[in-house]
Amino acid sequence: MPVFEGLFPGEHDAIVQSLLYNFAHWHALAKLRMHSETSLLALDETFKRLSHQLRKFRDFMCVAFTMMELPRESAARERKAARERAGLSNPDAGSGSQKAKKFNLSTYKFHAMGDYVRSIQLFGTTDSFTMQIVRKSIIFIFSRLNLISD
Amino acid sequence: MICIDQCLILEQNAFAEKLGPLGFDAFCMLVVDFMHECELGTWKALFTHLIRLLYALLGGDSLVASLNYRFVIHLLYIYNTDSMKLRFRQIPSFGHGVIRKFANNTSEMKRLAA
Repeated sequence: MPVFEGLFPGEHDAIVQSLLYNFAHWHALAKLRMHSETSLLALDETFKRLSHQLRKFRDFMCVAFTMMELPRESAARERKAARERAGLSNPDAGSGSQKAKKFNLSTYKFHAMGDYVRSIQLFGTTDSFTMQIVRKSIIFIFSRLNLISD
Repeated sequence: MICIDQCLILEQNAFAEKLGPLGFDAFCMLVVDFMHECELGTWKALFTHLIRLLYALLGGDSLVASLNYRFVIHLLYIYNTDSMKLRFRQIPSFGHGVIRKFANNTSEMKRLAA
């Protein structure tokens, strides 16, 4: 993954590279429009590697550094706080600080990544039931009606 | 009933009411959603966290800047445009969401195209 290559120091770079490679591999396999037993097996194997890498990323890298919010996240939080203060008519100076953020693997979306093989076996390839189709058709219809410019 | 500890919220919905007596579990028909769950879910979470990591490192701002720069070069290479001039914002969009205008700043993750 040349975009991220060399940005992280030392051994962390290798972890990130390997994680990104596995994620891209899994993503490509999950997005295939035709599957066989072999490709599903490969998808399953890739997911095992990917989940191992993700846990490694969380346990080794995320402990080594203290991650803060992105500038846009802290800006959004301050805007929200400012709105709430305005409602209370008690304007208080914004803290301007950034909150610490942790990498959270315990979410439904990460959990569901393991169910892709089963879903494909039961319902067919992911392109037949992704929300992307719906989203694109909505944008197309709305742009025809000139309701949105995108 | 809400179990705060485990985030379990019991709900009744139309599927459960109508199909439950027939012995059908509505959860069997729910499929995964690749775009929202992975591309705009787990992948975006990972990417966001990688950028947080970059900011946390020494000289984080310049690292994020070089990440943005590399993305631009990468996109120019993919779409084979005039790579000597960074005119990537001027690449016209094509078709219905096939090629969209590229975000000015990758790390800010605005206008993410799935």
